Parts: sequence; structure tokens; C-alpha cells
Amino acid sequence: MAVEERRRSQLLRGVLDLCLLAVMDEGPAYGYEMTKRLRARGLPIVGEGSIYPLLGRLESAGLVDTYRAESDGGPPRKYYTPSPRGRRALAAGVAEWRATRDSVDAVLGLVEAEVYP
Amino acid sequence: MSQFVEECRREWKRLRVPRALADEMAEDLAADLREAEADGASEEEVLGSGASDPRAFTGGQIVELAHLTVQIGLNHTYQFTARHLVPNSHKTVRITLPADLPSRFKVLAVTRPVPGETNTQNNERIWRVTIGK
Repeated sequence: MAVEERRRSQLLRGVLDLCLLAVMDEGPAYGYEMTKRLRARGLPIVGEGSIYPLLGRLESAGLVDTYRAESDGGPPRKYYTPSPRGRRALAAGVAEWRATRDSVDAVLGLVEAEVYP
Repeated sequence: MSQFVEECRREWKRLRVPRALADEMAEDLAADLREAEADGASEEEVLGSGASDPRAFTGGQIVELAHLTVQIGLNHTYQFTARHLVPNSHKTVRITLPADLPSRFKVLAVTRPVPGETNTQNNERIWRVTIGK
């Protein structure tokens, strides 16, 4: 794996749980639906780990509520939505992410970089 | 794609995942893969880096979805075994208690496996759950 890919993967791994909570906070979603919502925002998870273990971890931690329901014209699916505790975790995580991003920007933003294709 | 799901189902069965849960996970996975295929998305987009390895994919899930069943007897300390459970402190262990357990009882403590408390015949680790009032 190239250095760039590895760095992207590591960065994403630290916030993918927040991203999942964020997209399911827009409305209950099943597994692949979350993948689509992430992709629609320019965040494909190709090459990363599957989201399923992460969803299991969120469920075990009580950060999501789940239920089964018919999908649009399809079979019953397991829908995920943030629990009240999950919404609090999302809000705290977003604040933490923004603070981290601003701090890193304060350092890296000063670098005049030229990116070659 | 259905072959991948069937391999996952077999693997979940081998890992002693309760049949109802395994069936549910297999149905969800199959539905997601069908929808992805219809969208023209790759398997990797759904399965991540485990796309080519059902064993790695299911193993990763079991660590997160470990379900343990406690048999209620006369004593308040119960011993049970769990396979394929990674005993790291950050993992959450979900304990399924019998529905008829009196509501005044609750789980007081879950003790992680200690060295020497592994059944070497089948590599099961022994956990202890203390239930009390």
C-alpha cells in the first residue's frame, strides 16, 4: 500500500464511526445505504475495512438503536439510527474533530505545497 | 456473490453463532450485495478489504457481535465459555440473560479469561459472570 493510501486509511479509521453516526443521523439507514451516503459525499470506503464490524461495535456500545423493516420494494433490512447516547457521542466527536483539524491546519496550512499528479 | 454469503453462513455456523443471528446477518449481507451489484458498485465497496476472504470477514464480525449465554443455576457465579472472543478491555461483551431471570437479578461482574483457564481441547476461553441482587 502506498504511503498516501496508508495515511488516508489511518485518518479515516479514526473518524469512520463518526461518519457513520452522521449519515444515519440524517435518517435511519441500513448497511449499504450508509455506504452510498458516504460515497455521495465523496467518501468511498473502497480498500478500507468493512463497515459491518464497526456497526456491530456501535451497537454493542449502545450508540445506535436498530430495528428491522421492509426496505423500498426490497427485503427486510436492519436499520440503524443513533441512540440518544450516540447523538451525544457524535456531537462530542465532531467538536473534537474540528479542534484537531484546526490545530493541524494551523501547522500544515502554512506549508506551500505543490501537488503533482 | 451468493457463494460468498453461503461461505459466510457456514463460517458463522462453525463459529457457533446462534442460527437466527447468522441467518439475519446472511440475509442483510446478501441484500446489500444484490443492491450494490445493481448499482454497479464493487464488492469491495461493501465488504472492504475482506471481500476475498469470508473467514476474515466473518471473524471480524464475530469479535464485535459476540453473544454469550449464561445458564442460570443455584449459584450466583456462572462459568461459561466463548470462542473467538478477543479479550481486550475495549471490547464490549454482550451477555444474553434468560428472559425469565427475576428482574431483581443483574450482572455484577464479568471476569475476563486468565492464563491457564483455556480449554486446550477446543481453544475455548472461560469467562465468569457474577449475577446477584
